[in-house]
Amino acid sequence: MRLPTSRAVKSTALTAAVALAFALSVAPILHLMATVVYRGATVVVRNFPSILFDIPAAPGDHQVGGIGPHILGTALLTSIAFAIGVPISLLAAVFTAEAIRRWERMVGRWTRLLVHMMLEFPTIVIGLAVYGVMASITPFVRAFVPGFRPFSLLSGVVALVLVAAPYMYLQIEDGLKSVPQHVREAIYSLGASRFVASLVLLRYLKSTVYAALSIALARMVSETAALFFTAFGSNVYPPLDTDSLFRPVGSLTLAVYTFGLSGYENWIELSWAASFMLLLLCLTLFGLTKLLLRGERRGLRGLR
Amino acid sequence: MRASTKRTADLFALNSLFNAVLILSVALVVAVLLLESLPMIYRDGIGPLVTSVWNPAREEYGFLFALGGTLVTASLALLLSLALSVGSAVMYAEFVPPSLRPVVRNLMDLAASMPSVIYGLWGLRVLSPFLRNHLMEPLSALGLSGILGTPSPAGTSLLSASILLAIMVTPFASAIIRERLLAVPQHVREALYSLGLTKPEVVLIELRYIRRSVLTAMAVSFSRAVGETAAVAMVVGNTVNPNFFRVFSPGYTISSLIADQYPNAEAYYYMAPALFYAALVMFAIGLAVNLALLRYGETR
Repeated sequence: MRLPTSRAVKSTALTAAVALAFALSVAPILHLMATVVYRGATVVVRNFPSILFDIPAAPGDHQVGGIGPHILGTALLTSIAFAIGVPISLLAAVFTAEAIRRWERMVGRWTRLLVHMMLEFPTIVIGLAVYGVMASITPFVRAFVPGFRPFSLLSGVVALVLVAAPYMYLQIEDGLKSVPQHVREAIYSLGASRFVASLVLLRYLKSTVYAALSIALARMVSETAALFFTAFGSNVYPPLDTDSLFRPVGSLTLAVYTFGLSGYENWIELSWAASFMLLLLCLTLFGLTKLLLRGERRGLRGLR
Repeated sequence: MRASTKRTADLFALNSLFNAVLILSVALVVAVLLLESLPMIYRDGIGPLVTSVWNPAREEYGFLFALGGTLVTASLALLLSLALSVGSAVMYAEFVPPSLRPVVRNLMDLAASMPSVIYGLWGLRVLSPFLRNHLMEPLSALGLSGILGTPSPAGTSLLSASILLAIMVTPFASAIIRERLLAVPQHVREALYSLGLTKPEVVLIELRYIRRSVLTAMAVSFSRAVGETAAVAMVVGNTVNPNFFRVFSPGYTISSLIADQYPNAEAYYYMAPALFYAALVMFAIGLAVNLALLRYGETR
């Protein structure tokens, strides 16, 4: 069939525009990854393994030093926040999905609504609010714990829990809701209590649950804005004593931010190195999540 | 039937404590925002929203420049990402061969889950200088700097922030649109082709068919762009710029103002309340977008 010229031209132009838009949205991403890998890997390889343990060199120095305190900080923040956040979101999701009585269903509905709302909070707002709470309770807590401070590992952990919990909660709850009714009935027909039944259901949903945890872990590792006024950042190893929880602590993301914005060549190199490590961490967690969700069309919340 | 004896039912009900934790934390976040900004609201009312004076030494905090910066960058990013995400979603659904789709999908999903601070570093060290040398300088040389402002030496500007935001939110928006595009019923598509339409013409009609989803994708992009902090704070230039519509100049957004100024906040009496007030405004913008989405967005 021959098209009139105007239609043919219009069609070709639209196809070209679509191809151009696609190229323009993919090219920056590829360039970004290539740059981070190239510049970051160069720095890491040249200073391996001291870059993993040392503290940063003085700004403007001809050496780069290392980002040991930031790696430790990310490890501490993430592992503690994970240990606190997982049980909260897991059990809350179980309660919401398995609610039967009227008050139970009402609590479930409210949790769902508010958690949805929290998912839309900018993370800087969450960080700011955590700081606000911590700063206002400081005078009272200091009476019992003299070392208490608002800029601390503890505040960072609280902020990370609030950032990541909604993802875990919603993902697991969606999973529980999607369990076929006959499976649930089979479990209850064996005489299982609701508590036991929910444990069995969670095992039934193993891959969804693990995927939710991996997404949450990725969220925690890659969070920056919520840590500004909570963990605050630090370039030295914290001394290990009873006040460790109440001292500012660095993280890989804060290292990328502060070193990247500094005007010193050696710190900028550290920034590339830190973003390279972050990228590797996120790639690993992303691959893990995709592997766990293989064959499942639903349940990509948090990956987009 | 769900069996539950009284004893085990009580054990299960203990789980509701964790729901209470989640509910209380959301409530607490909102309450703290309100309470901490009250001194500023009480002192100046809506003054900070309509003035552009940031003078901590005299305890004057008008953050219109940041509010304007947020709206300008988020709107520009929205426009750019509308073109980019619709285009790349159409490309994915109609032109990319099915065997290549997983590669493209994984790349876009990965891009959506990467830490924003990495985008910030790339935006600061690669994108901003590039935009300065190849876009802003030539256009300024043509005499547009009177309207659009003067670029800074590093290229950090409201425009760089907008373009970086567009790059960051496109994978999200594109994912929403491409799924709906693939879900257009086959019989609708076949009916259109049977009219003798070309592929691009069919796509245009399909896009109209899923327009509510496109709107949803755009709203999601906008609220993400409003709330994005780390990346924006690195490329926007962090300069008080009352002429926030001059996009070649450096400026502030609300999020970058908070990130940049907070370390100083404890030195002044009203600065912390002013920043909480700004956060409250940002929160309100996000809430308004989400409420609008409930009304006009896709039905779930």
